[in-house]
Amino acid sequence: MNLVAANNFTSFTSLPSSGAKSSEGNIVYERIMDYVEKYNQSIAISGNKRVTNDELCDVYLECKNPNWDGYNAIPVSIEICKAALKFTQALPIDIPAPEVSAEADGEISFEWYQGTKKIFSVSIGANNRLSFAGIDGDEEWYGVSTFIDQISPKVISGIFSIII
Amino acid sequence: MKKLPSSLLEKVDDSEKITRFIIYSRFINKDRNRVKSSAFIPNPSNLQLSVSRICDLSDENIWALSKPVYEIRKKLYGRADIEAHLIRNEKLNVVSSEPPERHANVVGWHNNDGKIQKARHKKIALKLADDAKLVLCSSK
Repeated sequence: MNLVAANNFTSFTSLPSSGAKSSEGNIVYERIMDYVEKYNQSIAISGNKRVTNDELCDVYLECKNPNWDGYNAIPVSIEICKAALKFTQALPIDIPAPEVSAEADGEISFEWYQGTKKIFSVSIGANNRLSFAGIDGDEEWYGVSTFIDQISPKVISGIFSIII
Repeated sequence: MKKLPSSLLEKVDDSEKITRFIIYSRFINKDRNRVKSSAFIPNPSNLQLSVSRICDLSDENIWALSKPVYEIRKKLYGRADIEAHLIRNEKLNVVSSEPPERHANVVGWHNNDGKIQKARHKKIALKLADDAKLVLCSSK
């Protein structure tokens, strides 16, 4: 990881909280996007990943308060958002952008969908834990790994098994 | 057989349709007309998934059940309909839990599985999402 980018992104933690999409929320959003833009430029990432990073900012703003799903979901923390951003940077460059979402336990999920019974999903949570599961026809699998700077081959192969 | 205030039987029949209301836009993909697995991850505080029983209701009355959830964000994107037997196929159960009227919980999620627990939940959520039918809400 580029150190300048990492330092820029650290400032993310000091952003004020606000209601998403309110006028204050828009200001926060613009500031986050500034950081992400610098981050993107500094490591020259692909277009697909840029889309995902923009979405991660939206996910944080949408889900930073409790009960964001109407069923008492846990808020998405800034730490998990940062870990998710690093995760996207570590994805192989030729992997298509996943669908990004939050989950009720405050984790952020990335899902690749190629049709019924051809889906792979991985979530990043506290302590950089990756929980993943996939369905490919009659085959199903699941597992966990820890993400530090590299994504486990089990996760990468799970993604490729769906997108190819 | 015991009846509930809603006049439904307490036991949820295998053939009953239940639904999960969706007020978070990223739980669905409109272009692909599908529900994402993240919509079916249980609440971590009680390992339950809150749903509503929608048998014998008009579409209008089904949407009316969403009111308590809708009030949270004043948004409603759709709902994920699924039959109870498809949930039970995953070794989960659907149990009535009124009030509110027609409320139920999907229970029996893996517990005390340590690090692997979330991954097991994800595998089940993938299958439920794949089986569910997305019904978009066009009026809100």
